[in-house]
Amino acid sequence: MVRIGYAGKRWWVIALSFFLALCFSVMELGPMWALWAPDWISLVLIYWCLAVPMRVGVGVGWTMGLLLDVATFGLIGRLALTKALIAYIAQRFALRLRAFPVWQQACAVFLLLGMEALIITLLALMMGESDAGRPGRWVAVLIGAVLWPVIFISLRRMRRWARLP
Amino acid sequence: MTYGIGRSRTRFVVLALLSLVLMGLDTYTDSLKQTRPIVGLIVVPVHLVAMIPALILTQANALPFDVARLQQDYQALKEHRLLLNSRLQRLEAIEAENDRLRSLLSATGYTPDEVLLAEVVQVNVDPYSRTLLINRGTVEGVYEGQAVLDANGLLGQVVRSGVFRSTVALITDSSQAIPVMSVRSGLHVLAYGTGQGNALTVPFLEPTANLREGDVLVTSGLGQRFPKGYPVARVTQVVSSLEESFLRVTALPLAQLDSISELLLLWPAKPVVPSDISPKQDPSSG
Repeated sequence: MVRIGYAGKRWWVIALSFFLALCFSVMELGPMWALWAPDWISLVLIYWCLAVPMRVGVGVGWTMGLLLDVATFGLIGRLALTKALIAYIAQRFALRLRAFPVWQQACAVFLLLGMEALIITLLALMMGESDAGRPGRWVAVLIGAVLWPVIFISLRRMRRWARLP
Repeated sequence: MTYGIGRSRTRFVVLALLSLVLMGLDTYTDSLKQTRPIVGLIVVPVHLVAMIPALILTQANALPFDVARLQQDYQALKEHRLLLNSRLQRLEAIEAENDRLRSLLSATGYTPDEVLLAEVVQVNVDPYSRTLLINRGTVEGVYEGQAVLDANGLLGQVVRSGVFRSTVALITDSSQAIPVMSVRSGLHVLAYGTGQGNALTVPFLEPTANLREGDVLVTSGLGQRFPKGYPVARVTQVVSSLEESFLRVTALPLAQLDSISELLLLWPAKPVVPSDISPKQDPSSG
């Protein structure tokens, strides 16, 4: 690893964006919005996995998932698992996805979020949770994919400001 | 530009297995229950920052814009307070008398329960689950299994407590069952949440059971989870049919479950001990 290449780069921007995403995830938006709120952590995680796959990947995804599990009083380990999987797939196809136009990326994001929602639903069914099949989860997936261009453009601006590769 | 696909694959497999182990531990054992508050400290700043917009909004709403409405509210509250005060006087006399009688019976003394006001942060409007998120947590001493009330009766219990937030399952949630007794007949039954609509059900009652429409059900203190004597529901329907071997009983909760904004967390004055519910004292409370 070449150390000199990292001088002057503001890597803490990545941590800040994850912190903001965590805040958005637990923010009180009222009962109706809370059901449809997209998974901010997943969106931010996908962006950084595509942009800097050598820095952000499975480990970061798993840690953020675990923090989200604790912050939202969920079953510990569930979101950690799905976020690690999302990070793994996004990291794997990072070079290919980066060449896509934004709307095609949004389709890929839709598939990733849909996969996560499916896994969460299946796990919730296995655990016998009463809200396993709530339809709001799928609306949230769609909203997340629609929001991808916004996330992409704002995080890209942040990344360029921070002089990250 | 290589970042080790193989390495990230092994890392993923290891972490996935670790999450499965964590999920298993969280579901089947209590070992993670103790670590939860400690790990929760890491996300405390997140909750603090996330509270800011809601705080600003409530501050803005609290500004007195409409003086006439405020005066009207004030007048109504004043009248209500007068009414409550008159009732309280009667209650105090009864309480004193009750204490005297209890000391005569050399029973354990009565001390009032402690309560704390909490606000609802989020409502789960899912048709099958009846849970709320409230703005109190282990910082205020909230514990899992704690009883939650409103002004009219029992609302439910705390099922998960975080540092600043807790989840409350309402009595109508399908996972809830409350040991109750009929005030009129002293009959001990279990009231189950149905998860559908605003109703409780009392299953497995024989057709001869002494339960009628209009009976008020209060917590019996059995099971030592809910303190004794708090009103829960009123029986609205008792149907006996020849096809079924049990009565079909429906009860409506006395607490206003459909419009909850504030609720009371309850700390029982003393642990509910079995000797408290000896048959000798049942007639006095029934």
